[in-house]
This record gives sequence, C-alpha cells and structure tokens, in this order.
Amino acid sequence: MSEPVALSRATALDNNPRSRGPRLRGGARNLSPWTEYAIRRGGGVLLSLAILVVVTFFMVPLIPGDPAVAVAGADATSEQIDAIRHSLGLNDPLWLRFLNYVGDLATGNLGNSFAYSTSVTTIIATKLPYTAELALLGITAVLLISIPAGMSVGILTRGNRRKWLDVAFGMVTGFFQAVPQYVLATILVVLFAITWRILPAAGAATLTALILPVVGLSVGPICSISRVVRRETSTVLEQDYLRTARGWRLPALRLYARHTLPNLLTTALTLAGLILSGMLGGAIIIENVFNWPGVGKEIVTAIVNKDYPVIQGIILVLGFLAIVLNLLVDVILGLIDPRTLGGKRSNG
Amino acid sequence: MNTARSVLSASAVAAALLLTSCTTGTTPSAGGSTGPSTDTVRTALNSDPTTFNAAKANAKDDYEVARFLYDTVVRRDADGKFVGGLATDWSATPTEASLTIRSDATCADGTAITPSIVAQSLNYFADPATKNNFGKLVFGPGQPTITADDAAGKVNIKLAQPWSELVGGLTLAQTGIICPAGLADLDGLAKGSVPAAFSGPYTLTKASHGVTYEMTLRSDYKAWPKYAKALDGVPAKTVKLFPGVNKTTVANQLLTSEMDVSDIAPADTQRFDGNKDYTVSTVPFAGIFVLFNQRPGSPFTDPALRKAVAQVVNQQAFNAAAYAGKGIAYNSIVAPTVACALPDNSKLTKEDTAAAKAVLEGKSFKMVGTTSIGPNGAGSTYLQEALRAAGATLDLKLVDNGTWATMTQTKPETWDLTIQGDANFVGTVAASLTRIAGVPTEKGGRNIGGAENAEVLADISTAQNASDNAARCAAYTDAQTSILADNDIVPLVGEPQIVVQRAGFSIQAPSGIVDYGTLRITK
Amino acid sequence: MAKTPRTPGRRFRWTPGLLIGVVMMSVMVAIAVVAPLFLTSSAETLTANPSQGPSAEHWLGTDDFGRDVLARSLVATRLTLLMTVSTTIMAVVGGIAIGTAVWLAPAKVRNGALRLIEAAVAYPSLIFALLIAAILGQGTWSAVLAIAIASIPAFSRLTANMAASISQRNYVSTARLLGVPGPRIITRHLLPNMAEPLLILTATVFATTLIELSSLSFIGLGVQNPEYDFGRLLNEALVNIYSQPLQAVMPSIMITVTGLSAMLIGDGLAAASDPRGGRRHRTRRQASELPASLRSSADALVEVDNLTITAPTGKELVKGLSLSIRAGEVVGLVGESGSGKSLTAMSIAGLLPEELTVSARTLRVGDLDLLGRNDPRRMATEIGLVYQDPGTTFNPALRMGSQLTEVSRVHLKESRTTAVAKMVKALADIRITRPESRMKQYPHQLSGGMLQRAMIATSLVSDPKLIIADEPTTALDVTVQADVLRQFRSINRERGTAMLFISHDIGVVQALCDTVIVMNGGKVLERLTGADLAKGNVKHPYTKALLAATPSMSERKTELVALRSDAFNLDEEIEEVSP
Repeated sequence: MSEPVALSRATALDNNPRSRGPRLRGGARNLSPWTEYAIRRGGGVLLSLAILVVVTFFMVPLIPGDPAVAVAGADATSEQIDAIRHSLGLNDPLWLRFLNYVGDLATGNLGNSFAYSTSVTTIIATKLPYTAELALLGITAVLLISIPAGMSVGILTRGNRRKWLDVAFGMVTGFFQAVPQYVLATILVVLFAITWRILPAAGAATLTALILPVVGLSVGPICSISRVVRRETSTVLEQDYLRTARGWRLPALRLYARHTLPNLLTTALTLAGLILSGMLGGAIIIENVFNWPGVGKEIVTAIVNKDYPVIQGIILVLGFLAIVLNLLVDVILGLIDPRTLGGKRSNG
Repeated sequence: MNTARSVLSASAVAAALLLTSCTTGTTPSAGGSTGPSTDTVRTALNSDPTTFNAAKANAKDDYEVARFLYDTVVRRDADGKFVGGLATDWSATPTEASLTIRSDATCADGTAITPSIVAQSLNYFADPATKNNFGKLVFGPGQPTITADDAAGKVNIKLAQPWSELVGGLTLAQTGIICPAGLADLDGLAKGSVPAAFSGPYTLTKASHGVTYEMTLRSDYKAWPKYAKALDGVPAKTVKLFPGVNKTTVANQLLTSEMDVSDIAPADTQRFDGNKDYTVSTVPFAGIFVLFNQRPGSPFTDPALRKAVAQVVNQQAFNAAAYAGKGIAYNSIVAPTVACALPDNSKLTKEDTAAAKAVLEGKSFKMVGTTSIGPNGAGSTYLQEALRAAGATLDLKLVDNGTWATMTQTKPETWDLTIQGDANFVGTVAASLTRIAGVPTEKGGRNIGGAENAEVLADISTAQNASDNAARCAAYTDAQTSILADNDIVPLVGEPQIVVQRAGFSIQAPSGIVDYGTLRITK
Repeated sequence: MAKTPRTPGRRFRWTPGLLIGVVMMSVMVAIAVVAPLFLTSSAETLTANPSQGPSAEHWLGTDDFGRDVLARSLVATRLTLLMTVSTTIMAVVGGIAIGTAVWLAPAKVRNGALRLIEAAVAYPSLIFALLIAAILGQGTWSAVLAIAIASIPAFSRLTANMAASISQRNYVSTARLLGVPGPRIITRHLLPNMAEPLLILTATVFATTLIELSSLSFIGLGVQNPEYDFGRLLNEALVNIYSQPLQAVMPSIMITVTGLSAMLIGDGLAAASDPRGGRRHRTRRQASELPASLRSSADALVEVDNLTITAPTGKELVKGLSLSIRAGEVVGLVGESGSGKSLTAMSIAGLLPEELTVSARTLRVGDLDLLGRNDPRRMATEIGLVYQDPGTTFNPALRMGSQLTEVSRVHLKESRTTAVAKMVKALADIRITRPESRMKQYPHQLSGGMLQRAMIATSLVSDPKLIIADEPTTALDVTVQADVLRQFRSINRERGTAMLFISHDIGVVQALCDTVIVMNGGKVLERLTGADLAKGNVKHPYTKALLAATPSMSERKTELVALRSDAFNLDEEIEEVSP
C-alpha cells in the first residue's frame, strides 16, 4: 500500500491525471522500467493464455448437440453415429482429451475439424487474413476519423462554448452508435450496391468490396471513440500543464498536437485496442451481411456443426490475438507516456 | 426505406469512404460488376463441402460439387427418364442389373475408365465400412454383388433383395465413380487433393476453406450425357463456388452481377419478378411435414390428437410463413413430380379448426424444430402459433440442425412432435416412406418418429418386387393413403429450391432435381 | 474518523442532451407499459392477410403471419426494455461486486484476482456471449445471462480500477487501519465515491447491452417465439428487407431511439457531474465604468486598475482591485484560499479561465494591454510564470528538455541545439545536478523541488520583465521551499526582474517582498512594506490574525505538507467564498 496505483490507461473512463502519485524517482533502480515491465506482463500473458485454453476447452463441449450426430448427417444409422463418435475420440474421458489437446497445442497443432476434411490450422489460416484485413482497415478508419473529430469538437466546445455543437455532436454520434450494425450494413448495401450500383454488394473478390464492410464495421466505433476523445479532450484542456503551455503562448497546433494529443491517446488507444480485438472476433454480423469469408462466420457455422476443434481453435486464436494486442497497446502507451510503465493496475 | 436516415447514413459514410480509399489505395470503381469473363461461372454454396469423396457426400453442398467432379453411370433426364452417363446402355430387373460402360471415358489423369474401375468404385460405395447414408437407398436392403466384365465392357449388379429403383439410385451424385487413385488415398480424396480421382468433367483446382472453390474444365473430357433435348451453350471453363453465403446477400450479388447462378431465399424471389435479365426456376427440394413421436409415452400415440393437429394446419399459411408462398403444394409425403405420388390432395386431412379446438384445448406438447425450416425457423413458429390459436400450448425448442438431429435421433423423450424436412435425393416414394415407417432410430434405423409400420413396409416390398409400373404405383398409393389416413405425418409443402440464373447462364433440373452438371454459359 | 469527504451538494444541471434523452426514454417506458395492454391482440393474432403492405387498418402492413407490424414493434418495447434492464443490472452488480471486493482482499489474492479479470477481459466477448447462449440454449433469459456474464469482466475491471484509485485515498486507508469491515468500506467509502462514473458507465452499458441483445436475437440465439423483442422483429424483417422494407423501419427506429436516449442520458449525467460543466461561456474584457478607488501609478511596470472578475453566476470574485508593480519590485499578494489572489495573478498573466468575465479600467504589463489581444511572442517572453504544483505543471507525456526549451524554440526561434545548451546551462546555474540527463527525463522522474527550479529556470531564459509566481512553494516540503525562495531572491537581486509573488502564507512573503498586499474576499485589505510586516507593524485585524496564525518556519512542516495543492480550482474557490 505504499505506492499509489498508477491510474492506468484502463481507468480511462475515470481519468483523473491529477491524482498521479509519486513514482520512480530519478530512475535509480536496478532494472530498467522496461525490463521490469516485461517480466510483470510476461507472467500476466501466460496466465491469460492458460485460462483461455482451460475455459475454452471445457466450455465448448457443453454446447448441446452431439458432434457425431451432426457429422453423420440426417440419414445416418445409430451404428454409423457410434463409429463416428469413436473415430472423433469423443468416447475418451474429458481429462484425457484435454491432455491430448494441450499436447497438440504445444506443437502448434489445433486438431482436425470434425465436420470438414481439413485441419483447424488450415481453416484459420485461410480465413483469419480476411477478418484481419477488415479489422485493421476498420480500426485505421476509426482512429483517423474519431481522434481528429473528437479533438476538434472538444476544443471547439471547451469551457462550454458552442453549446449547439456539443448537443449536435452528441446526437449524431449517439444516433449512429445506437443504430444496430446489421441495420446500418443493410442500408449501406441498399444504397451503394443495389440503388446506386457504385460498390459491390458482397464478397471479397475486389478491393472495392472492402469499402462497405469496413464502413459498416467502423461507424459505431468511430462514434463511440470520438465521444470518448471529445470528453477526454475537455479534461486534458483543463489540466495544469496545458495552462503552462498556454502560459508559454504556444501556437494552437503545437498546443493541441503536441501537448494535448499524447495525453488523449492513452484512453483512445486503449479503447481502440479493445475495439480491434472486438472487430477481429465480433465481425460476425458484418461478415454475414457482406458475405465476407472471415472467422466470425466460421465460428457460427462451427457451433451449428458442433465442430469442437474449430470452435476451440478460433476462440484460442482470437483470444491470443486480443492478449497480444492488449500488450502491444500497452507497449505503445509506454512509449508515448512512460508513466504507464509503472505499477500497473495491480499494486506491485 | 426511411429517406431521412438514408441520407444521414450516406453522408456520414462518405467521409469514411474517402478515408478508406486514401489509406488503402483503393479506388472505388464504378459498378459492382467485376467483369465476369465469359468462360467463368460464379455460384454459391450453402456452406463448405464437408468432403470431396462423393461416396460419403451427406450435405447438399457435398453432392453439388460431386456433380462437377464425378460422373455417375446413369443420369436423370426430363420427365422421369434416364440418360446414359458412363454407361451407354443398361438393363434392369428388380433383382439385378447390367450396365454397358462407354469405352471413351477417362479419369482426370488419363486412365481409361474400365468396367473394373466402375465396379470397384460402386463396391466402395456399397461397402458398409464406407459408412455412407445412401447405400440402402440405391441398392435396397442387404449387400449387392457388383462385378465387372472388362472384356464385354459390362458391370453386373446383383441385389440381395428385390429393389426396382436401382437405376434411379444410380443417378445419385453419391454414386459418382471415383477413380482408383482416389480410392488409394482416402484422406486426399476427402480433401479433394487427388486430381486423378476425378471422373467428371471438372477437376478441383483451388480449395480455400470458407472462401472459394474453383473447378476447372478438363480439356480431354468427352463423356457428356446426351439429353433428349440438347443443352444450349457451352460448359464453363472455370466454375467458382463461394461457400457460406447468406441467401439475401446472394440475391444482392445476383442483382449486381457479382454472382451468375445461385439458389436464393423464397422471400427474395419477387426482386427478380419481371426482370428479363434473370431466369428463375423453382423445384421442390425437400418435403416438409409434421412428424409425431409415436413412441409409448408421447401424447401422439393417440390418433385423435394427430388428426386434430392435421386439422389445424393450413398449407397456405405455412407456405406464407416459411417460404413466402413459394413452397410447392404437396398431396402426400413426396413431391408431385415423383413417380407414383398421389395425384391430388383428396387424401389429406381437411382443415377443421373447430373440431381440432375441441380436442386440443388445454393440451400442451413439446416440440423441437430446426431453424433451417423457414427463415429462422418460421415453419415451426407457424405450427406453434396455429396450435396456440386452437387452444393448445406448444413448448417449442428451436435449435440448429445439428442439435435437432441429436434430439430427434437420440433423445426421443425430449419431444412430441417436430417438423421434418425430407430431402428425397433418389426421387422415389420409398425413400421418403422408409424414413417414417421403417426401423426406429433406437434400433439403428432412420425412423425418428419411432412407429414401425408393417403395413407400409409390406407395400414398399410389394412395390419393389413389382415388375411393372402400374403394380408398383398401386402399392405406393396404398402406402401413402394409409399414412395420411393415420395422420402419421401431416404434409405441409415442399421446400422450394429457387435457382436464379443471370442472362447468359443456365442450369437444368431434370425431373425436378437440380443438376450442376448441366451448368452452361449460353451467351 | 475516516469520514468520506464529499463534494458539497451541487445543483443538478439539465443539459439539453439529458433532457432529450430523458424525454425519449420516458416515451419508450410509457410505450412499454401501455402498448401491451391495448395492442397485444393485434400484435399476436394470426390473420389471413400475411405480408401486406401498409393500409388504413395496418399502418405499416402485416408480417408473414398476418400480424400488425406497428403493434408488434410497440408491444416488443416492454420485453426489450425488461431484458436490457435485467442484463444491465446483472452486469453492473456483478462487476461492482467483483471490482470492489478485489480491492479489499489481501494483496496476494488481489493480484491474482486482477490478473484473472485481465484474462477474462481478453476473452473475445461477443464470441463468449455466443458460446454461452449456445450452451444455455436459445431463449430470453439465456440471452440475458449470456450478455450479462460476458459484460461482467470489462465492468469489473473498470470498477476495480476506480476502486484502486479511491482505496489509496487517506480516508479509506484510515478506515482499513481502524478495522472497519470490508462490506462497510465498500458501501460507505468506495461506492459513494464511484457513484457518478458508475452511473455514467451504467448508461453506456445499457446502450451497448441493448444492441448486443438484439444482435443475439438477430442471429437467432435470443428471444424465441412466441415472445419477441426488437432484435427478433428485425431478424424477421431483415429477411424481407427488399420485399417488405416497411417491416424493418419501426423496430429500427425504436431500437435506435432507445439506444440513443440511454447514451444521451449517460452523456448528460457525465456533464451534470462534471464540476466544470454548467458554466456559461462569457468572456468579456471590458473597461470598467466604476471610478477607481485606489489609483495605481501610471509609470509602473504592471498596472492593475479597478480589476473586477465575475463568475458566470454573477458573483464577483475580485472586486475592484488595483495594484502596481515597479520595475525590479517584488510584490507579495497574500490571503487565504478563495481570497482572489490567484485570480488576480492569472488575470495579469492573461490565463484566466475563459468563462470568467474580466473588467478593469487598466490592466497592463509594460505596454502590453491585457484587456486586448497581444502578440503571443511578447506575452511569452516578457512575462515569466511559475505555478503552484510542480507535479502537474509539466506535461507528463513529454520529456523535460523539449518542454523547457519550448519558449526558446517557438518564440525566440532558436535552434534546438542552442536552446538545449542554453537550458542545460540555466539548470546548472540553479544547481540542478546532471542537467543533461535531466533534460532527457520525464517529469515524473524528477522531484518536486527539481521540477519547480526547472520551471523557474525556463521562465528566465527569455529574460522576462515580470515573473508571476503563484504559490510556487506551497507544494514543496520545507527544506526545498527555502531553497526555492532563495532562488527567487537571487534572481531579483541579480537581474532586477520584477515579481508578483502569491502566497497564502504571510511568513513566506515577508522575507522576499518589497511590498505585501493582503487580500480577502476579493478585496485589498491592506498594503504593507516587507519591512513593516517583518516588524509586525500591521493595522488590519485580518492581517494580524494571519500573522498570529503563522508559526515559525521550523514548525510549519506538517502544516505545509497537509495543505492541499489545488492551485487553481475555481469551484472550490467559489464555494469557499460563498458558504
């Protein structure tokens, strides 16, 4: 209890930089902050992965429905179903299956799909790039639009000026955030593909086919992040160090780009990291509407097929990516704002 | 749509669009059409094929792709007739058949397809160890003896029990002839990675799971069936299949020329109405009927209750709810196009809600339904609502296909009634009847209702023994009449398979079954 | 003991967004209550007119079962709201329980639990929800449970982080030392202090939950027939979107309006709880029409004549203050918190919050008229500023060097190397050790005294005419304080820079200042020379009281440390001025 906890980026929504406590002073420690950081986070990542594997493995078989029946098809006899069940290894006790699974994982093998004559690794390797393409473009759009938009509104409405802009901004972003993704996506298709015929309705055949899904995927997050950025901007603008910068009479660009922006990024990037993980795993609806061959659709199909290895594999890979992303965001934040390297969230 | 919102979303999106195009270097090109080359056909699959081994094809997508890759000995022509595939000629009695194999057919690697190769493949198909679900539908009960006489160019099949529908069975894509290279490498065969296994007009040249499959036309392929009415156009050099496509999205893609031929959802049919750039053909894909659990303990062992349910059902209302009115009226358990199907609906239980209400009021039943019948399971929802209107409570569990199969096949205690989709691939009355009157699932059969109906089985046997059509149909008529009188099932409608073809592309459905081997480019 | 400090009751402010949000939400709730009473039969009875277009009888047409689309959309409101509220409550209660309990657990358990939460957050939440929904089977409550469970980790992480910062505060530590039981600490100390952010978060969770639940229904895993929520209606409608677009319109509007109103309420609550909010922006710098009471001398370097600073509420925070500073003079401005001294200083620096209204007959530094616009370069170079809390003065995200050289590079157009070299020298001059490496460090790596000396150094590089130091020693401990004061004194002696030195501590200023002005309640009470003050030669009773209350330097350590460091928190000043 000696050192106050750093208000890490995750408290973003309750950001109050003033309550920053004393931290490493003068850097007179044996380890560099980065080494300490690596050790601390390394342990966290391993724990997260372990939990991910265990929870996923034992949760998936709870899905109702017998994989053997699903694989056998509508007209199979019970004898055939039994044979399939045996060949899928479903007659083994759960702990044995778990040991085998973990053993395979250690060699990078995610097993073979129950339903398809393919390995899970192949399925994920084929489909993940499509999802990643969408998600990365989506998050790029989100960051490039929401940060400038949120900042501008935050700056323009500082000290409660331009009330109308504040209200309009809140209404518009709130509106687009509240429109369900599937409704928005459908409207996009109706307008751009069917009515005006300027963009493909679906598929991943051409680069232009990316546009509508990316838009559909990013409109919501653009709104939510720009709202957060707007709120953060007004908080940062009230900080003492901004008064210092104003006291130095810095030009507007320098004031906002150099002194304000880095202090917003903590929150914005944290959220962006979460949103990117979400986009990787949660583009199910967009993938469906735009017939985009991503992993989200695959997992829905896999649940219907009771295809345990595919479900487990996809969740593991997505969870792993989320963990890595989380770490990556933290590292980026550490570079932008070294304070975040200090005692993070937990008290040690 | 609501214009205000359209405008709003459009303007918001414009900024994002601009940005995306800057960051990716993508320039939005005018028009959704991606310039289809005239030698390529783009079509959709429901989901990924589970296997490229024709003999183990279970799902619709499996045998759709099998049509491209493997030739069967006999093919279906229009009006219930057959036409030669790998066989040029055939003769059949209820107990045996002899097929004359054409001499000019080759496997994709150039190996000549001899009668031995055909027999070897059919034996693999019929082998119980292969564990396919279709052997019994083709060869009837028991194990057939299949031999080849290379010198005479013939394959001889001897059946264990009389089965007069062998030739029809041999048109099934599942009986496609797998060349020896495939049988030697079953893993590779399933993955589609053994090109020499293919006997059909195409080889699989690209298989990207969940993304796209590509078939390439073999330049040396000559064994095209000679249909009574020759097909227009030429076979595509390349066929691209996109799996896992949302049906509404496919309709969009057809309309924007991103797709050439595909099944669509019934509700989207009207988007193509009166559009001369598209041809829409509808065939019955599967019979949909209410099926009762007739095992002891289920309320529906009581014929009065079954009848009451039948009296509640209104085929038109079900059709509207599940298939936007595009379903095909059924008079019996099979489609009207199937040989020996009942000619009119006189044998169906008449709708009589008042009578039904008297019986059903206050009753409650457990129903399991699959989400795949009607949009989001609207078919089952209809029945639930109809019974609710008659005063009965239906505890409906709407589940996906896999769970439905598990519940209906292995947990009979969890349901009293269900709606069954019966895809009759062979196109025979027997194929559907055995499903509801044959051996119950708990005894290893495929009858999920559990009521073994000796009378119907006897009728089937009579039909299979019959040497002429009239006798066979008489027996089948008997059987159909009996199950309808008993209300063992309540026929609803036929699930429509609605195939839309863009101008310049065509596909045929000989005798009501869509055959991807007939896909042609006509422009 | 261990009393939770609470902000004195603020008046609740109705922002337009909040008003719109509450009105829309009330309408939805009213629909949810009323619609099922009157419309259930037309919403649920099957008719023989399926898939009809709009007509007088059915305004938005009928669905595939012949039911009235409009009626169904309205009746669905009740279930949708009930589900969303239940999910939100589960997620919030679960999240708060976990998030706060974690902070009362022993350190080891806490670290483990935090890691667990962290790991759970990494679990892809939509897929997690899908999996849970698949396991529980389709249905209303399994959807509710699935989304709630999937939302708990994120919510508990946020709560844990908030609890983390609060549990470090003195009153919580004290309570724990006194052995106050855990649940009591949660209910008495943690929750009240998190209430506002939690409320805002809850509104956000409500909005996202609404959409997630409808997404589950849309995929077909949520609400099942015969029940229906917006998601299921949309799921039915979007199948027919091209043949019967009207069917989708109403549920889309309803779901959007509900989500939007929740978000507006969240925003509104955030704005209402924001102490900065609610002020009206009204910056007017105008010449005062009041006659000067105490004229300042026109030949002085700094001339403030009849300065009045008004809060947006109309309250005068500084009332007709006048002062002047001659070149090379050190003027001390003394008074307790809220006396208006900092406001006065900041108005001379031109850094008053924009919503305050400033009026004065004259307000100038040299020939810079602070009532008008000035050349930023001259403002930056001619007035040096030193603030109260060195810990917050510097931008935490930038290295010291780049901040300290900013004025030189931006305004004096010096090259980076020149500016750095100059700054290194300036730091060395004020006896900062290893100045080169300090320049590469971040503010949090330096001590408060070092930061404050660096601030003084940077305010000197442009050789300003005036240095305004706003309680520059308050946040420092006593030994450092004396050192910093020495810095100021030597600067004044060596360079002859004029200074305006603000302090609440009369002892600090008496040693340094030529002139001391005592302020209270926004007014000048007394002007003294430093010498008078040192002799105790004061007239006003308030000044006497101030002097009497000041212990000798050596005794003041505890007092100094205990002092709060809010240099410039307007709200506090307003509230303390008006009890």
